[in-house]
Amino acid sequence: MSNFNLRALLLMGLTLVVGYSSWQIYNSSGPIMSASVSSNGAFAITAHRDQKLILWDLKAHTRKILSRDANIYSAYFIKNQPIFLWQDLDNVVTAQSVNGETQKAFELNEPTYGHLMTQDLSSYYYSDIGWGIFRRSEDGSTQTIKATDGRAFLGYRKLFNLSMDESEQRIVSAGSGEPKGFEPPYYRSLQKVLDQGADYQHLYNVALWNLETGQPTAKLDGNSSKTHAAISPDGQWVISGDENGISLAWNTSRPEQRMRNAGYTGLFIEGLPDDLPASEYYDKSGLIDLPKGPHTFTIAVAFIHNSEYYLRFGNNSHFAALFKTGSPWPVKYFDLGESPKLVTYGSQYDRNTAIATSPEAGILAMGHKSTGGISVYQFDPDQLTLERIWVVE
Amino acid sequence: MTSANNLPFSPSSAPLGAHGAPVCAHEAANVLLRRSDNLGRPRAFIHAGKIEDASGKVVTAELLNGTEHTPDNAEARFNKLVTGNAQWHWSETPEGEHLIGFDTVSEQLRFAPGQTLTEGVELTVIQGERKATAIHLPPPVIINLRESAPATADLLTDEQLDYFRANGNNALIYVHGYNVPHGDWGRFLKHDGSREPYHGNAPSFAKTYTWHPNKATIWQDAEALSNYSATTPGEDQLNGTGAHNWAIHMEYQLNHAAGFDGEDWMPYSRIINISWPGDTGSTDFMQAELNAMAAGRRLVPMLQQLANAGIAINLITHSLGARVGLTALNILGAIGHRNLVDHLFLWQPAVADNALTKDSSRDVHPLGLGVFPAAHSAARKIVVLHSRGDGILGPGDEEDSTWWQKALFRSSPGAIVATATWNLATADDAMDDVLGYFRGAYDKKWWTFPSFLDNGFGPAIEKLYKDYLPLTYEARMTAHPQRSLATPEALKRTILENWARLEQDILTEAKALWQPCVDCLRNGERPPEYTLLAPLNHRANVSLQLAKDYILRLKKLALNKWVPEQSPRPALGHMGLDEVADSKSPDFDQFIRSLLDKDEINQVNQSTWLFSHSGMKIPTQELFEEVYKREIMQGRLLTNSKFGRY
Repeated sequence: MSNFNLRALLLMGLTLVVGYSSWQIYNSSGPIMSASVSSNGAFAITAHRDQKLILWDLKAHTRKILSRDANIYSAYFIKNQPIFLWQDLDNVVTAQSVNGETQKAFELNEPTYGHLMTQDLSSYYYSDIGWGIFRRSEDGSTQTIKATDGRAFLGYRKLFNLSMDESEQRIVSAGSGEPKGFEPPYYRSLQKVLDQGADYQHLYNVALWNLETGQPTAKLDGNSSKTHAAISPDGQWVISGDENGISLAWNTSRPEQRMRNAGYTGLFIEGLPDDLPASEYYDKSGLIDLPKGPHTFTIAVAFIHNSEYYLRFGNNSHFAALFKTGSPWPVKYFDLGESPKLVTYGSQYDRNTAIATSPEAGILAMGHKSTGGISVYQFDPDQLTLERIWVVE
Repeated sequence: MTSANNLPFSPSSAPLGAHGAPVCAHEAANVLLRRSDNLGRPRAFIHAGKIEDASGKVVTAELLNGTEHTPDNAEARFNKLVTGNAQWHWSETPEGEHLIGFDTVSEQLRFAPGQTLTEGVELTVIQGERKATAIHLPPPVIINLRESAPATADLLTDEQLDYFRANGNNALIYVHGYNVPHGDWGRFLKHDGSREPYHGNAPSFAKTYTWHPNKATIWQDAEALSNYSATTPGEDQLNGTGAHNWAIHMEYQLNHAAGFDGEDWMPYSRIINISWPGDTGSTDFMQAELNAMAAGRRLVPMLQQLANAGIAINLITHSLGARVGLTALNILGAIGHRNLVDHLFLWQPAVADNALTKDSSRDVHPLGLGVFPAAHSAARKIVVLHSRGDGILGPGDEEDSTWWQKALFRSSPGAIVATATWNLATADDAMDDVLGYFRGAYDKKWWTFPSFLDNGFGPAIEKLYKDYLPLTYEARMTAHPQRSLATPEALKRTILENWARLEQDILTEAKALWQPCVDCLRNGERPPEYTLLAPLNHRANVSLQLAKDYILRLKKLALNKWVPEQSPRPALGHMGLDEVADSKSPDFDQFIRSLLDKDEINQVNQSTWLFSHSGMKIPTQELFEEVYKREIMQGRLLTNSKFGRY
């Protein structure tokens, strides 16, 4: 072979390698920052650190890059609809069906840091960088429900998590638990919060909002530091978990009654006198065998089977604990898989939105710690199993 | 009517009186200057400076020369000034009492500290008496626990106590970390206009900075000042060095977080800065720990002094400063003080992750100085601020390292050193950063190799028991190698004699100091410091039994050539409470878990935005908003305890 041919061959080979690498890079994605699963469990929509928006077909095991300039915190599936919500980097919010049709689009005057929309696409709720809550109505008018507060997101390095029930009458918000005061009543009242900042600007901790009135109906105290919370689809339960390992539950009809959920080494009994031996503060009667791995320092909670079962995800752990609403005790621990490392690793409280479920379909989708793939799990409510059904590295 | 043109001179058409008259015709006038601090309290004049009046005459003031802060002593009267514009120049005596305001009947002038040093303050001298009030910052508060000093020197003066009482009845104490020298204040830059841009051209490089002799005890923005020059003035020159530099930064950031806008210094609040001898050489960590405990012991009476005065106390410690704070609280807790301190913030604490346990048996430190069993009870709330991104306190996150960091690490030790050297150039504490690049200096605190690093237990113990050496068969540890110890029998006999003597002296010390410690602590006085039992200085006092236990531990360590059998616990500032309160682990501590569940301890994970050990000194915007503004100020101090008058 002549030198010329050899060089041409090498050049062609090099071109192919470079081309393939470029194609790979073009189609790869950064880690998931926000995710949402359709109610029927057929699709997941994810927004990635490199601004890609990806629609995952969870049945066909395919994926499609829909955008390369998506707001990383804007992936959201509208409940009971084959329609998802996302925002581009020009702040245009689009409600788009899985077949590609745009159902609704409007420009917001700022980037969203979490949003949701009612099933009839009439009301749009979103949070901003300052942990505000706003409602945009069909006529384009915007109402402040909770006032923004500086750049709270940067401050706490955590999103102001929003969760809505099926009836679309209630929203639960969760930012950071209010430190317990030194003297009774230990926590500020809603009125005091309002006095300290218009439109409940400083209502950081778990709160239940009535969407009809646009007012908070309960301030749900007791968590500490970065806190995540979710409302059950039937609107009856609010579950929280925080970075200090405190998990609480409230029945929305009796929000003044706070219930502790067990840590994995015991259920803390409140109201006992000080200075008892530490073990006397704990009820261990309902504990199940604890494998090595689950962590109580919680990064997220999510309902996995209607309003009956929910999962609690620990920081720096690939285990999730299954709980049943109405009971404080863990029902089962699930090993979610050590590899690839899940988003639960690395204290990434600003990525707890990369954990998403469809409680109706029993689907859990999770981002990975450092790679752009996804892990998808199916929950079986009869066998109480959680099986990983699809992994994309 | 006589024409003016016929006169041999032109008369002035200006009216006679205060301003229009020629200077020689001005009337004599007085200025009565009062001095106060930013709380409105009269402050005695020690030196009232001088007024240069419109005629150019320089007048000094009449003072009563009293040092008590009475209204009379706070007055300075400048007599026989001519009316018109004048300048008051003041040299800021006492040190650190920077001028921030000048009030007259007609106006209220506000200044940044140091702003008036060059030009003075302009005032208009009027007929009769001009009254004015000069407003100053209170002086900074640094308690120096480095050298031997009388017990009273460890306390606040009555004046300082009055200040904190008047300033919201609260005091915030900041304790710096490892390897921080005492240092000194910076200076105020002198603005003489010579370095300002000329016709839009760059400022001259030829001139060097000139500085006021006055020490600057508040933070100055180097970048803003660099507008006057092509180069940025040095941080050390502006904002001081060592503990003083930390004091300046922490005080400013805390005020800023509480609402100080950087313009109006009237609400600015001083904090109490503790300077302690943690600068033992970058690798002699155990000696620094011993020093921290000795300093913590000396801190106890001041905390009692504040508590007895009814002043709310908050404590922020950084790095090994945690050992200073925890020692003080452990002693106070042991003698029955509950909730003496409102908040203890442990920022990147260089103590064991189980340091707050109540159970001494969980201490893995071979000499028993790893845990502070009673510290929790002396604080209402303890907030642990930790980060796995802190490369000094623990290994970094391999997976989150950038590719070039990994490449450097995986290539060769030479590359590690090269990285460290590169960082050395810009490091605040150079050796800390070098050690940090050896993957967590804290974990190496029990290193005995390489010996040239002079770390581990050996050097500190040899120093502590220098009069009792040799205590082991290690020839290099003998204090007097010139003596003949050629035969093993002779050496053995000497060692046994030394141990017997040391044991006896340790027990004697324990016996001798037991009751004095009890008495002093009961009376709010400085407790005696243990010398031979220095590793137990974090305890209120040492019982005979505890002393015997210590001797056994020491002997065991000696048999092992000062090498501990167990690894140290991870640093609390790195790991947080992950292992001791959150997992199925033999290290799980039900007591620490219960403190979390009772909301008496909170931990704040800063892993995703705090990447260096000393990042809080010059924080990023995120860090400032998170830790200073929200976690420390808004969520805790301003809600439950207050900071100054904010």
